[in-house]
Amino acid sequence: MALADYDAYLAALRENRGADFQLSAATGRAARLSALWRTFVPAPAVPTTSVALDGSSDIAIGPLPPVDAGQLTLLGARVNPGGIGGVSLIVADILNHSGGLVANVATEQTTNLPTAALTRYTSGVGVMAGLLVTTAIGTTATTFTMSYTNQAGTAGQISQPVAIGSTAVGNAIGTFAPICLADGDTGVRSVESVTLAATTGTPGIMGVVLFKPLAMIALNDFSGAHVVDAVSSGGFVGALAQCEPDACVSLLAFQNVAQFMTGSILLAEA
Amino acid sequence: MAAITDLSDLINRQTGGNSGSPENIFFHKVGRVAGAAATALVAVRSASLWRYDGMPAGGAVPTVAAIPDRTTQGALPFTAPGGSREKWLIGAAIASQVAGVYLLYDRLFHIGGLSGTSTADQTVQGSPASPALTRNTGGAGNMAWYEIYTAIGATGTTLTMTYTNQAGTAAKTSTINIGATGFNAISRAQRIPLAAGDTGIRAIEKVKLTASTATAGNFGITIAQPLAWIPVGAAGVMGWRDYTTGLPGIPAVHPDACLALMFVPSAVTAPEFFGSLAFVEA
Repeated sequence: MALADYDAYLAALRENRGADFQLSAATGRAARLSALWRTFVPAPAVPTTSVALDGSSDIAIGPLPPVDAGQLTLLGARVNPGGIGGVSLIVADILNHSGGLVANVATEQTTNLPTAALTRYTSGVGVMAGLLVTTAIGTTATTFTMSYTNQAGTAGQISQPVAIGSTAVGNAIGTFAPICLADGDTGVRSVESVTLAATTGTPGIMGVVLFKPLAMIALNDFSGAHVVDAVSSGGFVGALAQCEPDACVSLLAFQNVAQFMTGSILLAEA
Repeated sequence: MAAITDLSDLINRQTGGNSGSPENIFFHKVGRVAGAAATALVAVRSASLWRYDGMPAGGAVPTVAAIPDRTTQGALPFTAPGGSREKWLIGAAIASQVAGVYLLYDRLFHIGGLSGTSTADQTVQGSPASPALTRNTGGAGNMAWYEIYTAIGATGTTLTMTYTNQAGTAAKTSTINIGATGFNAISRAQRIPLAAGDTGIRAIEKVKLTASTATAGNFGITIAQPLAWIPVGAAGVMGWRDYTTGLPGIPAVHPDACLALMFVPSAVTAPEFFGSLAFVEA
Protein backbone atom coordinates (compact mmCIF):
# COMPACT_ATOMS: atom_id res chain seq x y z
CA MET A 1 0.00 0.00 0.00
CA ALA A 2 1.70 3.16 -1.18
CA LEU A 3 1.02 6.73 -0.17
CA ALA A 4 -1.33 7.90 -2.90
CA ASP A 5 -0.27 11.52 -2.97
CA TYR A 6 0.97 14.51 -1.00
CA ASP A 7 -2.22 14.69 1.06
CA ALA A 8 -1.77 11.06 2.09
CA TYR A 9 1.81 11.87 3.11
CA LEU A 10 0.60 14.80 5.23
CA ALA A 11 -2.03 12.58 6.82
CA ALA A 12 0.67 10.05 7.72
CA LEU A 13 2.82 12.79 9.21
CA ARG A 14 -0.11 14.00 11.29
CA GLU A 15 -0.22 10.63 13.01
CA ASN A 16 2.95 11.89 14.70
CA ARG A 17 4.26 8.42 15.50
CA GLY A 18 7.78 8.75 16.77
CA ALA A 19 10.14 5.93 17.68
CA ASP A 20 12.20 7.53 20.41
CA PHE A 21 15.78 7.32 21.57
CA GLN A 22 17.98 8.99 24.14
CA LEU A 23 21.72 8.72 24.72
CA SER A 24 23.14 8.58 28.23
CA ALA A 25 26.46 10.13 27.28
CA ALA A 26 28.20 11.96 24.51
CA THR A 27 28.65 9.22 21.94
CA GLY A 28 30.48 8.76 18.69
CA ARG A 29 33.89 9.10 17.13
CA ALA A 30 35.26 12.05 15.25
CA ALA A 31 34.71 11.46 11.54
CA ARG A 32 34.25 7.72 11.93
CA LEU A 33 31.34 5.33 12.13
CA SER A 34 29.94 4.37 15.51
CA ALA A 35 26.94 2.56 16.95
CA LEU A 36 24.79 4.88 19.02
CA TRP A 37 22.80 2.15 20.72
CA ARG A 38 25.59 1.32 23.14
CA THR A 39 24.61 4.42 25.14
CA PHE A 40 20.84 4.21 24.68
CA VAL A 41 18.67 4.80 27.74
CA PRO A 42 17.88 2.32 29.19
CA ALA A 43 21.26 0.69 28.68
CA PRO A 44 21.09 -2.40 26.47
CA ALA A 45 22.72 -5.63 27.56
CA VAL A 46 26.15 -6.47 26.20
CA PRO A 47 25.55 -9.17 23.58
CA THR A 48 27.04 -12.63 23.88
CA THR A 49 25.51 -15.41 21.79
CA SER A 50 24.50 -14.22 18.33
CA VAL A 51 20.79 -13.52 18.31
CA ALA A 52 18.43 -12.35 15.61
CA LEU A 53 16.92 -9.01 16.58
CA ASP A 54 13.49 -7.50 16.13
CA GLY A 55 11.45 -4.54 17.25
CA SER A 56 11.35 -5.79 20.83
CA SER A 57 15.14 -5.92 21.18
CA ASP A 58 16.77 -3.61 23.69
CA ILE A 59 18.80 -1.79 21.05
CA ALA A 60 15.70 -0.94 18.97
CA ILE A 61 14.17 2.50 19.06
CA GLY A 62 10.47 2.47 19.66
CA PRO A 63 7.65 2.09 19.84
CA LEU A 64 7.10 1.26 16.18
CA PRO A 65 3.59 1.92 14.94
CA PRO A 66 1.51 -1.19 14.29
CA VAL A 67 1.33 -2.29 10.68
CA ASP A 68 -1.67 -3.91 9.07
CA ALA A 69 -1.63 -4.46 5.31
CA GLY A 70 0.94 -1.81 4.49
CA GLN A 71 4.64 -1.23 5.09
CA LEU A 72 6.45 0.58 7.87
CA THR A 73 7.63 3.81 6.25
CA LEU A 74 10.22 6.39 7.34
CA LEU A 75 8.67 9.86 7.23
CA GLY A 76 11.19 12.02 9.04
CA ALA A 77 12.95 12.76 12.29
CA ARG A 78 13.23 15.30 15.05
CA VAL A 79 16.58 15.10 16.81
CA ASN A 80 18.33 17.28 19.34
CA PRO A 81 22.12 17.01 19.38
CA GLY A 82 23.37 18.41 22.64
CA GLY A 83 26.50 20.15 21.49
CA ILE A 84 28.35 21.72 18.65
CA GLY A 85 29.27 19.49 15.73
CA GLY A 86 27.36 17.91 12.90
CA VAL A 87 25.96 14.39 12.87
CA SER A 88 25.16 12.04 10.00
CA LEU A 89 22.54 9.65 11.35
CA ILE A 90 22.28 6.27 9.69
CA VAL A 91 18.93 4.60 10.33
CA ALA A 92 19.35 0.86 10.03
CA ASP A 93 17.57 -2.42 10.62
CA ILE A 94 19.95 -4.29 12.94
CA LEU A 95 19.56 -7.94 11.98
CA ASN A 96 21.67 -9.73 14.58
CA HIS A 97 24.53 -9.13 16.99
CA SER A 98 26.95 -11.09 19.11
CA GLY A 99 29.84 -10.55 21.49
CA GLY A 100 32.71 -12.20 23.27
CA LEU A 101 35.51 -11.59 20.79
CA VAL A 102 38.78 -10.19 22.09
CA ALA A 103 41.37 -7.87 20.59
CA ASN A 104 44.59 -9.29 21.98
CA VAL A 105 44.94 -12.47 19.96
CA ALA A 106 45.96 -12.93 16.37
CA THR A 107 44.34 -16.28 15.80
CA GLU A 108 40.99 -17.02 14.22
CA GLN A 109 38.12 -16.45 16.68
CA THR A 110 34.77 -18.19 16.46
CA THR A 111 33.32 -17.29 19.86
CA ASN A 112 29.55 -16.90 19.54
CA LEU A 113 29.81 -17.37 15.80
CA PRO A 114 28.50 -18.06 13.22
CA THR A 115 25.98 -15.27 13.38
CA ALA A 116 22.32 -16.12 13.85
CA ALA A 117 20.40 -16.85 10.67
CA LEU A 118 18.91 -13.77 9.06
CA THR A 119 15.17 -13.39 9.58
CA ARG A 120 14.88 -10.35 7.28
CA TYR A 121 16.74 -9.62 4.03
CA THR A 122 17.55 -13.30 4.11
CA SER A 123 19.33 -13.36 0.76
CA GLY A 124 21.98 -11.10 2.24
CA VAL A 125 21.94 -8.69 -0.69
CA GLY A 126 22.77 -5.24 0.65
CA VAL A 127 23.35 -6.58 4.16
CA MET A 128 26.48 -5.15 5.74
CA ALA A 129 28.58 -6.63 8.53
CA GLY A 130 30.74 -4.86 11.06
CA LEU A 131 32.78 -5.31 14.20
CA LEU A 132 31.44 -3.45 17.24
CA VAL A 133 33.55 -2.61 20.30
CA THR A 134 31.52 -3.05 23.49
CA THR A 135 34.42 -2.85 25.97
CA ALA A 136 37.39 -0.69 25.03
CA ILE A 137 40.14 -2.51 23.16
CA GLY A 138 43.82 -1.57 22.93
CA THR A 139 45.52 1.42 21.42
CA THR A 140 47.79 -0.46 19.04
CA ALA A 141 46.51 -0.19 15.50
CA THR A 142 45.98 -3.40 13.59
CA THR A 143 43.60 -4.88 11.04
CA PHE A 144 41.02 -7.64 11.07
CA THR A 145 39.35 -9.84 8.50
CA MET A 146 36.09 -11.74 8.64
CA SER A 147 35.23 -15.06 7.09
CA TYR A 148 31.68 -14.80 5.85
CA THR A 149 29.01 -16.30 3.63
CA ASN A 150 28.09 -13.98 0.81
CA GLN A 151 24.76 -13.11 -0.79
CA ALA A 152 25.05 -16.11 -3.11
CA GLY A 153 25.48 -18.54 -0.22
CA THR A 154 29.20 -19.01 -0.83
CA ALA A 155 30.90 -19.71 2.49
CA GLY A 156 34.51 -18.99 3.33
CA GLN A 157 34.67 -15.57 1.72
CA ILE A 158 37.41 -13.48 3.33
CA SER A 159 36.95 -9.76 3.71
CA GLN A 160 39.66 -7.28 2.89
CA PRO A 161 41.63 -6.21 5.99
CA VAL A 162 39.96 -3.38 7.92
CA ALA A 163 41.77 -1.10 10.37
CA ILE A 164 40.87 -1.19 14.07
CA GLY A 165 42.52 -0.26 17.36
CA SER A 166 44.38 2.94 18.29
CA THR A 167 42.62 6.08 19.34
CA ALA A 168 42.78 7.48 15.82
CA VAL A 169 41.18 4.52 14.09
CA GLY A 170 38.96 3.51 16.99
CA ASN A 171 39.25 1.53 20.19
CA ALA A 172 36.49 2.98 22.39
CA ILE A 173 33.06 1.62 23.19
CA GLY A 174 30.76 2.09 20.23
CA THR A 175 33.51 1.93 17.62
CA PHE A 176 31.97 0.27 14.59
CA ALA A 177 34.10 -0.98 11.71
CA PRO A 178 32.15 -2.28 8.70
CA ILE A 179 33.93 -4.90 6.65
CA CYS A 180 35.17 -4.48 3.12
CA LEU A 181 33.78 -7.28 1.01
CA ALA A 182 35.71 -9.64 -1.19
CA ASP A 183 35.68 -8.98 -4.92
CA GLY A 184 32.28 -9.39 -6.50
CA ASP A 185 30.24 -9.68 -3.32
CA THR A 186 27.22 -7.48 -2.69
CA GLY A 187 26.17 -8.57 0.77
CA VAL A 188 26.53 -10.89 3.73
CA ARG A 189 24.34 -13.76 4.95
CA SER A 190 26.44 -14.73 7.94
CA VAL A 191 29.84 -14.33 9.55
CA GLU A 192 31.73 -17.42 10.65
CA SER A 193 34.94 -16.05 12.18
CA VAL A 194 37.05 -12.98 12.88
CA THR A 195 40.85 -12.80 12.74
CA LEU A 196 43.04 -9.93 13.90
CA ALA A 197 46.40 -9.44 12.23
CA ALA A 198 47.97 -8.58 15.59
CA THR A 199 46.99 -7.72 19.13
CA THR A 200 45.72 -4.24 19.97
CA GLY A 201 47.30 -4.65 23.40
CA THR A 202 44.08 -5.01 25.40
CA PRO A 203 41.44 -7.72 25.06
CA GLY A 204 38.36 -5.58 25.47
CA ILE A 205 35.20 -7.12 24.04
CA MET A 206 33.96 -6.99 20.47
CA GLY A 207 31.08 -8.50 18.56
CA VAL A 208 29.76 -8.95 15.07
CA VAL A 209 26.73 -7.03 13.82
CA LEU A 210 24.79 -7.59 10.60
CA PHE A 211 22.63 -4.70 9.50
CA LYS A 212 20.66 -3.29 6.59
CA PRO A 213 20.88 0.49 6.22
CA LEU A 214 17.57 2.22 5.59
CA ALA A 215 18.26 5.95 5.39
CA MET A 216 20.75 8.72 6.13
CA ILE A 217 19.72 11.91 7.91
CA ALA A 218 21.80 15.09 8.07
CA LEU A 219 21.93 17.02 11.34
CA ASN A 220 24.11 19.76 9.95
CA ASP A 221 23.03 22.78 11.94
CA PHE A 222 25.69 21.88 14.47
CA SER A 223 23.46 22.25 17.54
CA GLY A 224 19.86 22.59 18.53
CA ALA A 225 16.71 20.91 17.30
CA HIS A 226 16.60 19.42 13.84
CA VAL A 227 13.28 18.68 12.17
CA VAL A 228 13.60 16.60 9.03
CA ASP A 229 10.82 15.39 6.78
CA ALA A 230 10.69 13.50 3.53
CA VAL A 231 9.57 16.37 1.32
CA SER A 232 10.42 19.84 2.51
CA SER A 233 13.60 19.80 4.56
CA GLY A 234 16.14 17.93 2.44
CA GLY A 235 18.97 16.12 4.19
CA PHE A 236 17.02 12.84 4.30
CA VAL A 237 18.25 10.32 1.74
CA GLY A 238 16.18 7.19 1.95
CA ALA A 239 13.11 9.24 2.75
CA LEU A 240 9.94 7.16 2.63
CA ALA A 241 12.01 3.99 2.76
CA GLN A 242 9.97 1.01 3.79
CA CYS A 243 11.13 -1.58 6.27
CA GLU A 244 9.86 -4.79 7.73
CA PRO A 245 7.15 -4.52 10.42
CA ASP A 246 9.31 -6.40 12.93
CA ALA A 247 12.48 -4.45 12.11
CA CYS A 248 14.98 -3.65 14.82
CA VAL A 249 15.26 0.01 13.87
CA SER A 250 18.33 1.55 15.44
CA LEU A 251 21.00 4.15 14.79
CA LEU A 252 24.59 4.40 13.67
CA ALA A 253 26.29 7.70 13.13
CA PHE A 254 29.16 9.33 11.34
CA GLN A 255 29.98 12.45 13.35
CA ASN A 256 32.17 15.48 13.63
CA VAL A 257 32.51 15.04 17.39
CA ALA A 258 30.89 12.89 20.08
CA GLN A 259 27.39 14.12 20.94
CA PHE A 260 24.58 13.75 23.41
CA MET A 261 21.39 13.24 21.46
CA THR A 262 17.71 12.70 22.02
CA GLY A 263 15.08 12.38 19.37
CA SER A 264 12.51 10.47 17.39
CA ILE A 265 12.39 8.82 14.01
CA LEU A 266 8.93 9.36 12.51
CA LEU A 267 7.31 6.31 10.98
CA ALA A 268 3.87 5.35 9.75
CA GLU A 269 2.14 2.60 7.87
CA ALA A 270 2.00 3.24 4.15
CA MET B 1 9.28 5.83 -20.22
CA ALA B 2 7.11 8.28 -18.30
CA ALA B 3 7.84 11.52 -16.55
CA ILE B 4 7.42 12.03 -12.83
CA THR B 5 4.41 14.27 -13.10
CA ASP B 6 4.44 16.07 -9.77
CA LEU B 7 5.26 15.78 -6.08
CA SER B 8 2.29 13.53 -5.41
CA ASP B 9 3.43 11.17 -8.15
CA LEU B 10 6.95 11.12 -6.70
CA ILE B 11 5.65 10.35 -3.18
CA ASN B 12 3.50 7.60 -4.60
CA ARG B 13 6.42 6.07 -6.49
CA GLN B 14 8.78 6.41 -3.49
CA THR B 15 6.39 4.29 -1.47
CA GLY B 16 6.04 1.65 -4.16
CA GLY B 17 3.04 2.90 -6.11
CA ASN B 18 2.75 3.28 -9.88
CA SER B 19 5.64 0.84 -10.49
CA GLY B 20 7.96 3.25 -8.73
CA SER B 21 10.19 0.42 -7.49
CA PRO B 22 11.99 2.65 -4.99
CA GLU B 23 15.57 1.62 -4.31
CA ASN B 24 17.99 3.03 -1.78
CA ILE B 25 21.52 1.73 -2.06
CA PHE B 26 24.20 2.18 0.58
CA PHE B 27 27.94 1.97 0.31
CA HIS B 28 30.97 2.46 2.48
CA LYS B 29 34.59 2.82 1.55
CA VAL B 30 37.81 2.98 3.55
CA GLY B 31 41.18 4.47 2.71
CA ARG B 32 42.62 1.15 1.63
CA VAL B 33 43.22 -0.48 -1.75
CA ALA B 34 43.45 -4.24 -2.16
CA GLY B 35 43.92 -4.60 1.59
CA ALA B 36 46.72 -2.07 2.01
CA ALA B 37 46.63 1.54 3.11
CA ALA B 38 45.81 3.80 0.19
CA THR B 39 48.30 6.36 -1.08
CA ALA B 40 47.86 9.77 0.51
CA LEU B 41 45.85 12.19 -1.58
CA VAL B 42 46.88 15.63 -2.79
CA ALA B 43 44.83 18.31 -1.05
CA VAL B 44 42.35 20.13 -3.29
CA ARG B 45 43.29 18.01 -6.29
CA SER B 46 40.96 15.33 -7.54
CA ALA B 47 41.43 11.65 -6.78
CA SER B 48 39.78 8.56 -8.16
CA LEU B 49 38.13 6.31 -5.58
CA TRP B 50 37.55 3.56 -8.13
CA ARG B 51 39.95 1.16 -6.43
CA TYR B 52 39.02 1.83 -2.78
CA ASP B 53 38.06 -1.16 -0.64
CA GLY B 54 34.64 -1.31 0.94
CA MET B 55 31.16 -2.36 0.06
CA PRO B 56 31.13 -2.75 -2.86
CA ALA B 57 34.68 -3.98 -3.35
CA GLY B 58 37.11 -1.78 -5.20
CA GLY B 59 37.46 -1.90 -8.95
CA ALA B 60 40.35 -3.52 -10.77
CA VAL B 61 43.01 -1.66 -12.71
CA PRO B 62 41.75 -1.65 -16.29
CA THR B 63 44.05 -3.06 -18.92
CA VAL B 64 42.55 -3.01 -22.39
CA ALA B 65 40.04 -0.39 -23.48
CA ALA B 66 36.67 -1.33 -22.01
CA ILE B 67 33.14 -0.15 -21.37
CA PRO B 68 32.39 -0.79 -17.70
CA ASP B 69 28.77 -1.10 -16.60
CA ARG B 70 26.75 -1.59 -13.44
CA THR B 71 27.93 -5.19 -13.14
CA THR B 72 31.61 -4.31 -13.28
CA GLN B 73 33.47 -4.83 -10.03
CA GLY B 74 33.86 -1.47 -8.34
CA ALA B 75 30.57 -0.04 -9.60
CA LEU B 76 27.99 1.01 -7.01
CA PRO B 77 25.39 -1.68 -7.65
CA PHE B 78 21.77 -0.86 -8.41
CA THR B 79 18.88 -2.72 -9.97
CA ALA B 80 18.14 -2.00 -13.61
CA PRO B 81 14.67 -0.54 -14.15
CA GLY B 82 11.91 -2.83 -15.22
CA GLY B 83 9.74 -2.66 -18.31
CA SER B 84 10.40 0.43 -20.33
CA ARG B 85 10.82 2.60 -17.27
CA GLU B 86 13.80 4.84 -16.52
CA LYS B 87 15.81 5.07 -13.30
CA TRP B 88 15.83 8.48 -11.62
CA LEU B 89 18.24 9.66 -8.95
CA ILE B 90 16.23 11.54 -6.33
CA GLY B 91 18.84 11.90 -3.59
CA ALA B 92 22.47 11.34 -2.68
CA ALA B 93 24.36 11.52 0.61
CA ILE B 94 27.91 10.99 1.82
CA ALA B 95 29.32 11.24 5.33
CA SER B 96 33.09 11.42 5.15
CA GLN B 97 36.14 11.39 7.36
CA VAL B 98 37.59 14.14 5.20
CA ALA B 99 35.84 17.28 3.99
CA GLY B 100 35.76 17.88 0.27
CA VAL B 101 33.59 17.40 -2.76
CA TYR B 102 32.54 14.01 -4.11
CA LEU B 103 31.58 13.53 -7.74
CA LEU B 104 29.15 10.74 -8.55
CA TYR B 105 29.62 9.81 -12.19
CA ASP B 106 28.85 7.19 -14.77
CA ARG B 107 32.14 5.61 -15.79
CA LEU B 108 31.54 5.35 -19.52
CA PHE B 109 34.93 4.09 -20.65
CA HIS B 110 38.30 3.31 -19.17
CA ILE B 111 41.69 2.01 -20.17
CA GLY B 112 44.89 1.40 -18.21
CA GLY B 113 48.38 0.29 -19.02
CA LEU B 114 49.60 3.55 -20.54
CA SER B 115 53.21 4.53 -19.98
CA GLY B 116 54.66 7.59 -18.31
CA THR B 117 57.89 7.28 -20.30
CA SER B 118 56.67 6.73 -23.85
CA THR B 119 56.58 9.73 -26.16
CA ALA B 120 54.89 7.79 -28.93
CA ASP B 121 51.16 7.88 -29.67
CA GLN B 122 49.35 5.71 -27.11
CA THR B 123 46.04 4.40 -28.42
CA VAL B 124 42.95 4.96 -26.26
CA GLN B 125 39.95 4.03 -28.42
CA GLY B 126 41.66 4.40 -31.76
CA SER B 127 39.93 5.44 -34.97
CA PRO B 128 37.26 4.36 -35.55
CA ALA B 129 36.62 4.16 -31.83
CA SER B 130 36.77 0.67 -30.39
CA PRO B 131 35.03 0.14 -28.17
CA ALA B 132 32.73 3.05 -28.82
CA LEU B 133 30.71 4.56 -26.00
CA THR B 134 27.45 2.77 -25.26
CA ARG B 135 25.98 5.41 -22.94
CA ASN B 136 25.63 9.14 -23.50
CA THR B 137 26.95 8.41 -26.95
CA GLY B 138 26.31 11.92 -28.20
CA GLY B 139 29.09 13.01 -25.92
CA ALA B 140 27.54 16.20 -24.58
CA GLY B 141 28.71 16.79 -21.03
CA ASN B 142 31.17 13.93 -21.01
CA MET B 143 34.51 14.68 -19.40
CA ALA B 144 37.85 12.88 -19.49
CA TRP B 145 40.69 12.55 -17.04
CA TYR B 146 43.94 10.72 -16.75
CA GLU B 147 43.97 8.34 -13.81
CA ILE B 148 47.17 7.04 -12.26
CA TYR B 149 47.23 3.39 -11.20
CA THR B 150 50.97 3.02 -10.52
CA ALA B 151 53.05 6.11 -9.81
CA ILE B 152 54.60 7.72 -12.86
CA GLY B 153 57.70 9.88 -12.81
CA ALA B 154 58.54 13.12 -11.07
CA THR B 155 59.42 14.97 -14.26
CA GLY B 156 56.62 17.20 -15.41
CA THR B 157 55.55 17.10 -19.05
CA THR B 158 52.47 17.64 -21.22
CA LEU B 159 49.82 15.15 -22.29
CA THR B 160 48.03 15.83 -25.56
CA MET B 161 44.64 14.19 -26.05
CA THR B 162 43.21 13.69 -29.54
CA TYR B 163 39.45 13.25 -29.43
CA THR B 164 36.12 13.52 -31.19
CA ASN B 165 33.92 16.21 -29.75
CA GLN B 166 30.17 16.28 -29.05
CA ALA B 167 29.49 17.41 -32.62
CA GLY B 168 31.30 14.44 -34.10
CA THR B 169 34.33 16.44 -35.16
CA ALA B 170 37.41 14.22 -35.02
CA ALA B 171 41.06 15.11 -34.42
CA LYS B 172 40.37 17.76 -31.84
CA THR B 173 43.28 18.20 -29.44
CA SER B 174 43.77 19.54 -25.95
CA THR B 175 46.58 19.42 -23.41
CA ILE B 176 47.19 19.06 -19.70
CA ASN B 177 50.24 18.76 -17.49
CA ILE B 178 51.22 15.33 -16.17
CA GLY B 179 54.06 14.02 -14.02
CA ALA B 180 55.91 15.87 -11.24
CA THR B 181 54.82 16.15 -7.63
CA GLY B 182 51.07 16.46 -7.31
CA PHE B 183 50.48 14.94 -10.72
CA ASN B 184 52.15 11.56 -10.54
CA ALA B 185 50.84 9.68 -7.49
CA ILE B 186 48.49 6.71 -7.38
CA SER B 187 44.79 7.66 -7.55
CA ARG B 188 45.36 11.15 -8.94
CA ALA B 189 42.69 11.85 -11.53
CA GLN B 190 43.40 14.99 -13.48
CA ARG B 191 40.64 16.30 -15.70
CA ILE B 192 41.69 17.06 -19.27
CA PRO B 193 40.21 20.30 -20.56
CA LEU B 194 38.59 20.44 -23.98
CA ALA B 195 39.41 22.66 -26.92
CA ALA B 196 37.67 26.01 -27.00
CA GLY B 197 33.99 25.68 -27.92
CA ASP B 198 33.71 21.97 -27.15
CA THR B 199 31.19 20.74 -24.59
CA GLY B 200 31.79 17.03 -24.56
CA ILE B 201 33.53 13.94 -25.85
CA ARG B 202 32.33 11.11 -28.06
CA ALA B 203 35.63 9.28 -28.27
CA ILE B 204 39.33 9.61 -27.52
CA GLU B 205 41.60 8.37 -30.26
CA LYS B 206 44.94 8.63 -28.51
CA VAL B 207 47.15 10.45 -26.05
CA LYS B 208 50.80 11.43 -26.39
CA LEU B 209 53.36 12.71 -23.90
CA THR B 210 55.69 15.49 -24.97
CA ALA B 211 58.52 13.98 -22.92
CA SER B 212 59.09 11.17 -20.47
CA THR B 213 58.12 11.64 -16.84
CA ALA B 214 61.11 9.35 -16.06
CA THR B 215 59.07 6.46 -14.69
CA ALA B 216 56.69 4.35 -16.76
CA GLY B 217 54.25 3.57 -13.98
CA ASN B 218 50.74 2.86 -15.21
CA PHE B 219 48.14 5.44 -16.05
CA GLY B 220 44.86 5.32 -17.86
CA ILE B 221 42.20 7.46 -19.45
CA THR B 222 38.61 7.57 -18.19
CA ILE B 223 35.56 9.07 -19.89
CA ALA B 224 32.79 9.96 -17.48
CA GLN B 225 29.37 11.53 -17.39
CA PRO B 226 29.01 13.55 -14.19
CA LEU B 227 25.76 12.98 -12.31
CA ALA B 228 26.04 14.69 -8.93
CA TRP B 229 28.48 16.86 -7.03
CA ILE B 230 28.13 16.18 -3.29
CA PRO B 231 29.92 18.70 -1.08
CA VAL B 232 30.97 17.60 2.42
CA GLY B 233 31.58 20.77 4.39
CA ALA B 234 33.28 19.28 7.43
CA ALA B 235 34.61 15.93 8.53
CA GLY B 236 31.80 13.71 9.75
CA VAL B 237 29.08 16.03 8.50
CA MET B 238 26.77 14.62 5.84
CA GLY B 239 26.87 16.16 2.40
CA TRP B 240 23.62 15.63 0.56
CA ARG B 241 21.72 16.44 -2.58
CA ASP B 242 17.94 16.34 -2.77
CA TYR B 243 16.92 16.45 -6.41
CA THR B 244 13.26 16.69 -5.52
CA THR B 245 13.74 20.25 -4.38
CA GLY B 246 17.20 21.13 -5.66
CA LEU B 247 18.77 21.91 -8.98
CA PRO B 248 19.27 20.59 -11.59
CA GLY B 249 16.13 18.54 -11.15
CA ILE B 250 15.92 14.78 -11.01
CA PRO B 251 18.66 13.21 -13.18
CA ALA B 252 18.05 10.04 -15.13
CA VAL B 253 20.54 7.23 -14.63
CA HIS B 254 21.21 4.89 -17.53
CA PRO B 255 20.06 1.31 -16.82
CA ASP B 256 23.61 0.05 -17.28
CA ALA B 257 25.44 2.96 -15.64
CA CYS B 258 28.74 2.21 -13.93
CA LEU B 259 28.28 4.49 -10.92
CA ALA B 260 31.56 5.50 -9.30
CA LEU B 261 33.09 8.30 -7.26
CA MET B 262 35.81 10.87 -7.63
CA PHE B 263 36.87 13.11 -4.73
CA VAL B 264 38.39 16.55 -4.38
CA PRO B 265 39.72 16.43 -0.80
CA SER B 266 40.44 19.28 1.56
CA ALA B 267 43.30 17.30 3.11
CA VAL B 268 45.70 14.53 2.17
CA THR B 269 44.03 11.78 4.22
CA ALA B 270 42.65 8.93 2.16
CA PRO B 271 39.04 9.02 3.35
CA GLU B 272 36.67 6.58 4.99
CA PHE B 273 33.07 7.36 4.06
CA PHE B 274 29.52 6.04 4.10
CA GLY B 275 26.93 7.02 1.55
CA SER B 276 23.56 6.44 0.00
CA LEU B 277 21.77 6.94 -3.32
CA ALA B 278 17.99 7.00 -3.65
CA PHE B 279 16.19 6.08 -6.86
CA VAL B 280 12.69 5.64 -8.23
CA GLU B 281 11.53 4.35 -11.57
CA ALA B 282 9.19 6.13 -13.95
